[in-house]
Amino acid sequence: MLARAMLAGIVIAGCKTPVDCSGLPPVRVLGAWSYSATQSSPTTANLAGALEITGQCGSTLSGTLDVTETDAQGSRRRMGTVSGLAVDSVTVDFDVFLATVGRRHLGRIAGDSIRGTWIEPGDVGTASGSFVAVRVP
Amino acid sequence: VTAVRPLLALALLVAAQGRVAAQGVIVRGERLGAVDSTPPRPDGDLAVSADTPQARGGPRSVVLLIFAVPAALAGDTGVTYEVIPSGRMQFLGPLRGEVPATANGDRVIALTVRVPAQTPAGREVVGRIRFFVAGQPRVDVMCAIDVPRLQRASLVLERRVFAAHTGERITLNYRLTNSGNALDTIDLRIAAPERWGRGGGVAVRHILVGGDAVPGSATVSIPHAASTGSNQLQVSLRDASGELGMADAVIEVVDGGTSQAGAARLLTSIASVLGDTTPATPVFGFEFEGPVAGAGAVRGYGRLVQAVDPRHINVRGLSRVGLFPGTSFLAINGARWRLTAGSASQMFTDITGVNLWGRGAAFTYDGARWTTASLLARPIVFSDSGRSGYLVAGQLGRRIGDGMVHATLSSADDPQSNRRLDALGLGGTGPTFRNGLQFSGEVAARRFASGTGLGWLGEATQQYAGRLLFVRYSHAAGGSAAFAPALDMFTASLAERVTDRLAVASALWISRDASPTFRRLHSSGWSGGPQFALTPTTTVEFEVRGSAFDAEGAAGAIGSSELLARIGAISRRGDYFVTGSVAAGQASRSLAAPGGAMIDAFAARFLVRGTLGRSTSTGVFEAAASYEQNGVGIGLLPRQYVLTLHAGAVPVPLGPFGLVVSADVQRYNWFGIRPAATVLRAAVRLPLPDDFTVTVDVERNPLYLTPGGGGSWNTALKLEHSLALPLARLRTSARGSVYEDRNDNGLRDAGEPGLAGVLLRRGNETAITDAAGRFHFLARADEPTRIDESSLPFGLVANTTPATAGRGRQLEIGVIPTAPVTVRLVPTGDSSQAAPQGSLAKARVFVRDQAGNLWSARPDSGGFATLYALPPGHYRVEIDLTELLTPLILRGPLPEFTVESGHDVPIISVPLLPRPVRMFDPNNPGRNRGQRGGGRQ
Repeated sequence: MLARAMLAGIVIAGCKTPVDCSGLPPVRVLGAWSYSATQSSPTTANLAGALEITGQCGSTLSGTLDVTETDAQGSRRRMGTVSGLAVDSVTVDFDVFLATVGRRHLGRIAGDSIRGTWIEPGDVGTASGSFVAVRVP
Repeated sequence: VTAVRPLLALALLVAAQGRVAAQGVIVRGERLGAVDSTPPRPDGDLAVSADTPQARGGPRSVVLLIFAVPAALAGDTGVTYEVIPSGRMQFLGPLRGEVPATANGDRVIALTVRVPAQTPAGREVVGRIRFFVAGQPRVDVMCAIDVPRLQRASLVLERRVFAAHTGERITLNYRLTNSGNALDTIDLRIAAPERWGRGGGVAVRHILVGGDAVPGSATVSIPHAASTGSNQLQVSLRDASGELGMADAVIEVVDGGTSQAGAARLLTSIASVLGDTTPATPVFGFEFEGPVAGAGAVRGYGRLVQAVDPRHINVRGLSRVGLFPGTSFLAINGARWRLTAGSASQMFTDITGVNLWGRGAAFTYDGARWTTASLLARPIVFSDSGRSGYLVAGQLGRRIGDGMVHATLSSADDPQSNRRLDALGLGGTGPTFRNGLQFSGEVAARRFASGTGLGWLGEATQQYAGRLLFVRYSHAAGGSAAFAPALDMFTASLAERVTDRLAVASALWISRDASPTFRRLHSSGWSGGPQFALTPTTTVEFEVRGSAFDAEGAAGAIGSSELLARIGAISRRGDYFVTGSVAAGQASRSLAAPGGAMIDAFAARFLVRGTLGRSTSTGVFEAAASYEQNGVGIGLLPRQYVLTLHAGAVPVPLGPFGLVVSADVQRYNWFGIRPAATVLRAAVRLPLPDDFTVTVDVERNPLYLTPGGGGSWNTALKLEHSLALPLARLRTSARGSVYEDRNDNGLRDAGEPGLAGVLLRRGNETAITDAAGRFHFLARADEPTRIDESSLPFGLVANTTPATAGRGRQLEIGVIPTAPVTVRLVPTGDSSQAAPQGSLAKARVFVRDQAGNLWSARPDSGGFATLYALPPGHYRVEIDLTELLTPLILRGPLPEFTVESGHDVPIISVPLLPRPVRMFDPNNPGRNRGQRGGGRQ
């Protein structure tokens, strides 16, 4: 298993990684979204800010999340890159890298909004919660 | 002459290139002058040759002189020569010799000359060589050696550690020696920390002839704005040729020397952020710290950040200048207790409540026998959920030996996150076993929103002989929806030092939980690998780590995993450090959405990271680079690199107080997948008079989203003022004096003076003695008062007997003046044998005082053994000769001597005699006893 993983790493390092731009995107999510989220576990927190999907190549998404996080210890601004997939016409699955570990979002698109849940695993408890993104006209 | 030259050239080549190390002497020679064939002028029966062979050799070297027999002397007969030394240089080897006749008359002789250590630079006549040939006038040839100029100097500081308050001056006494061999102008420069500004440096000039030494002193002023703690002084010696030497000293800057020191301080700041998405509105910050009551025994700490318009707070800019809105609190604490009001939290155990944060009050008491912790608060509300909730909990503990039992009662309801818990727990920690192992456990009855259940946890820790072990398992019915980290959680870690150079570390965690958003949530992670120290400054490590999670909620089931192998190295050389690592592995991503969408992707990952940096008192400078490449479908961008340049805490000696600058540049690139970005940041901190400070921090970060798109400059400005608030009347909790205990009786007698500038420590507090040797401490502490011996002048040592409480409960701490004592071992012949030869370096010299304390020293090649700091007392010499290669013995009683304060002890000579030669008699073993070398006596 480990040898396979290392071999795969070496192989990938030796060539350009392809980006899947083939075909039409299952759903277009490019643009700016107003983002808000709550954290319900292990502690409570609120996040509010902007989600901007700046690139969509086929089903591959990339962008930026810029939020103000407020919890019992105060407010702070957090920013991270976004990368993920438009899985089908109603489902998006993306990671936000606010820290080294990705915060995985699974959302369902309904009209001009995306609603879903997010999860960020960690060794002292896994953080999770829900989010809503509304397209900015 | 022509025929001699090749021979001379060969000899010179051998002599010049053959640096023969013999007993520490470097042999080298060089012939500078040419042989003159002019016949000697008759001078009676003596002629002086114009041939003056010259060579070049530095002090402490042996010079090989090669020159020809004067051509005027007939070559068909033998020549006798005699060396007539003059001056301080010494010819080695026989001083007479003969040079046989040769067919062509060309003859050379070779002589060696030792150049003494202190020979001054310039041409030095070594002597003359007088040649005799029967029937001819004697011919004298002068010999001279050119001694090159050596520019050297050495510096001895009387003290290497000083203690002083801000605004004071310290005097650094030293002894400077021109260890070169010529007159030299030597500048002594003292470089203070850059942040002390321009006034920190000191320069003193000395003009010294070679070999001369001079005592001196220099004064260094400590600015009022200097921070407390250790500050390094670099003392360097320079002359026209460059740097000759360097020495370091440390100034321990201690607070408490002024009337305002020790008082509470209120730091008031006003800040605003320009640019970005929010209008510039002022934000006030207040931070308070210091004693408030009980003669300094009760201290307070508080923080409040308040915006004039709370709707427009630019947290991004404020955080860069150290203001974090929303965490206002005030804490009051004594030696064993702490009360916090405002933003308060308390952490009990995994099964009786964690992450209890709210607005209210928390109290903790940590007594010698009893402990308690409690919380009374409301959860902080971020959204209107209709109910406000509550957090009420208390814990009472009783220490038993180094173990403890405790009971916890908690009740918490946070409607905003649907978390609820009522718990009653009983737990304890057992005693520590001899191998460092300690067990603890707890059980709790738990009631939560959807039911009731038991919680339990067990924990084992071990810290023993290079091993650090931690194992914990907890089960908390209700999981994270009932203020627990998870429903089930297992954590283990082990770090062990296998050898001096090899260490291994590993960790594992597994958790199972359910939350309001995920009805099933499993996660796990592990890592492990060795770390090997290639050299004391370079370490390589190999690590394999993996992590995975899978969760199921209303939006579907998702999972991710990652496995990475990483090899890395860390190296530090002086101020420089470098790190590097390469990692490769795989990641997977899965999804099963309710609409039928599926993902099950697997791809490889590859990461490279490196850092090069330098950390000095003039700042931290760092360059870093990372590159990452990921396969398709695992949710990561295909390729990215990040380049970072960082300069931090760089003092700039500008203005009366100087300023501190930091700057960062970061370049992100995703190879066309998304626009590249360059983040720029710079900050300046400028101290002003009257305890004001201005901070300006500017940043351009295109990754933050702005209405206009792209990055804009975000500028944060802060003006702060530090104000002393004498809220509590500080009383001295301990006072005393440090004195010179000249008779080492542990008592302060009349005429024993106090010592100034001695650094003392007690608990976390430090103090310095004044001119009369007095000191005082403000904070109460259980720890004893002790002297930092490195702050004592050379020749003084702290008394090992405990400090005595004198009149008025004052501590009297004695410092004992010492004296150097030299014992000389003298190889001595007796009536039957000559004085023995051989090194004495393997002998050991001991002196024992009347209390049985032992001091030891090794003699040098001349047999001198010096014990540099013997306290006053009566001593007896002991000598161990068992390791000598040449068997020597002691005869007669060994000397005794007395050290008295202020009196020198003359060199003590001990004769060593050759061992009597005896024949081994196999028929009479009893006679063979005592034939080995002298033992310790």
